[in-house]
Amino acid sequence: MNDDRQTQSDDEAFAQRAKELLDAEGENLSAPVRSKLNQARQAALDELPAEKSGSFGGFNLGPVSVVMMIFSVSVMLWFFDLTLIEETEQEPVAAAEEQVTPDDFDMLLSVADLELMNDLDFYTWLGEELESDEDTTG
Amino acid sequence: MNTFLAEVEGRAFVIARAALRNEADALDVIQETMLRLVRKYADRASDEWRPLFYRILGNCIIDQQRKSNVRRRVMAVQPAGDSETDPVEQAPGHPGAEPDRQAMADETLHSLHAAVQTLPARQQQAFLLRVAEDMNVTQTATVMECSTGSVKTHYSRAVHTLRKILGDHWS
Repeated sequence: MNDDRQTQSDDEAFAQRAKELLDAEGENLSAPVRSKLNQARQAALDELPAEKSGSFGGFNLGPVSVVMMIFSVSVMLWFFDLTLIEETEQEPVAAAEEQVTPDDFDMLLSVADLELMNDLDFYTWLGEELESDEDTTG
Repeated sequence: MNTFLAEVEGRAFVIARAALRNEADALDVIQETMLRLVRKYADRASDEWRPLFYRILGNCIIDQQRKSNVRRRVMAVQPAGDSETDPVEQAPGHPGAEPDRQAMADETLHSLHAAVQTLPARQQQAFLLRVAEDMNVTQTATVMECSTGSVKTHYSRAVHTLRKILGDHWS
């Protein structure tokens, strides 16, 4: 009985010593090993599917943010659609004329038209002057 | 997942190196274990990751040990002249290069690694999980997919064998 207890106690002491050695080994890993472990971890994390990592275009978005974003876009689309329908019902010809075409975007994005927009005040003033001249002469 | 892997990678490497006695093989095994966990079990609850990780690690270590055994047999068949190992690289370091105490600890650790490697795979796994990873009997049984009784038997035999082998080195 005493022998059994002694053996158990020796086993525990042995395991404790082994644990201390292995713990120390884990804490004192060399820089190259740590670096390689880090690389291995990053390589494994790269395998995570996008929806699991919760990233979107490099930004981390929570589920609530994603839902809010979808809701906002839906509201904007719905509102834009409704406005267009109202205009179409009231003045079909005018609404058709005012519909945005791809050419309008091209015009807005072109450099020349951006310069024109910068001088918009000048052209507004010029227009008003011409109109007042016409009024006084006509 | 990143936090979990960062937490376990150091200890997992110690276990793999003790079982394989080769740093490059141990790193390969850790890489493979991480990849398998992420690919197959990333969507599981985070409290399941630890036992799954160590189960995969155990399997990867056994696979690597088999590969190493085959490699060793193939190398043994080759003529001795083909060896490209540099004798200078293989020579032990100068004893005065490190403090005596550290050198003694290193020597003890190396003898522990050597002794652990002589254990049968299941005993090795039970010993390393319980000692290096500090798992209790139930957790070890979950990882090893066996009963708690088997874990106790494997562990007890492992400790008995190691004490017998290490004897003089373990003072």
